[in-house]
Amino acid sequence: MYILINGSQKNHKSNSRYFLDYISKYLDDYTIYDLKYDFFDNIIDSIINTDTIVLAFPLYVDSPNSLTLKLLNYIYDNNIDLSNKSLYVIINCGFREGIHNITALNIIKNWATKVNIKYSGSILVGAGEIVGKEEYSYITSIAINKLKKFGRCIKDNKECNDIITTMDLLTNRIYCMFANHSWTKKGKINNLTKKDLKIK
Amino acid sequence: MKTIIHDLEHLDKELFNISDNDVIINANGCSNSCIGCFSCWIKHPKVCIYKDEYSNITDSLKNSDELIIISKNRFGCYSESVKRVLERCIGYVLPYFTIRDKHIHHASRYDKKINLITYFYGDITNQDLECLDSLVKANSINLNASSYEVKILEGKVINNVYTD
Repeated sequence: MYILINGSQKNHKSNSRYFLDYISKYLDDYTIYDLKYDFFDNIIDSIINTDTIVLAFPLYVDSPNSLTLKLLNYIYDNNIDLSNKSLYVIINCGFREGIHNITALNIIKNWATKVNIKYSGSILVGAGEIVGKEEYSYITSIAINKLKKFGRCIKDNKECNDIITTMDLLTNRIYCMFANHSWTKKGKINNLTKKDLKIK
Repeated sequence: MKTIIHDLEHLDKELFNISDNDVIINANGCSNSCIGCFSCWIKHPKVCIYKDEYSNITDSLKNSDELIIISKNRFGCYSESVKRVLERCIGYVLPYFTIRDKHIHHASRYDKKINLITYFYGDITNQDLECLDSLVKANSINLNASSYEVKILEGKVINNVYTD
């Protein structure tokens, strides 16, 4: 039995949820929980009764988001026994390079040691906003292939090395150009110019 | 002027050299988490969508030379309450990206650079310390801070751990 936990504070359309849905294609017996919407006690009960946990969350201020921290704190503070369970982690960020997620991953690994759960691997997704949208399938194919590999690892209950995905088909400069254009476009929807968005 | 974000029950102003001009933000009252709506970037720049005492911290930071964060250590990270406040400060930087040291980061909204000084308390292992250093360093890069410091608080004793 696999428990997949979406730690995103956004909603069901979050990229973290997208990655969990994608991974779930490889698993037979699983339940996906949204930390924001599902009953916290139910999630804790399911964690206690499972063998494998897949935790997905977005990078907020270089670390796990506060909703995910709430779960980590609760488990640690209540001495919930997680020994003999495996933990897989999916972290995504809006930056092009997945390497930005390493600090958050190290915090999770540190927590895993303290609560005696077996850390089994991770995928650190860069450009999460793009990889989580199927319409960009050509430029996200490398990241999606790595996600598939990660899914198969979880299915086989194998330990896997930490996988880092970066939007390799775009250079930093081009990625910035596209992303910045997209922010200006989002501002325009709210009748704000680029100058308005940059207000001091 | 300084902005102080903390999760202490009692803040010892003398210990942290806090004056009456400084802005003190007690994170323990922050119950609303960032919902990732990006309103503070693309709808009402700088201002959080939640209307409470934490909705406009960006302006405090704008006027500050130093951001002081005092937090309980949680596995090498900030406490949940301090983290909630920090997540609601992202309007301090722009949604736009820039390249710094060959990596992508958010561009600065302001020209002025702040010093980031952090104090952590509670049980802290060497592993925690390594995480805290890399976290604060990453924060300082993304905030485009001029410097960062990680300090450990044991009672009223402050130990410097990392400075850059």
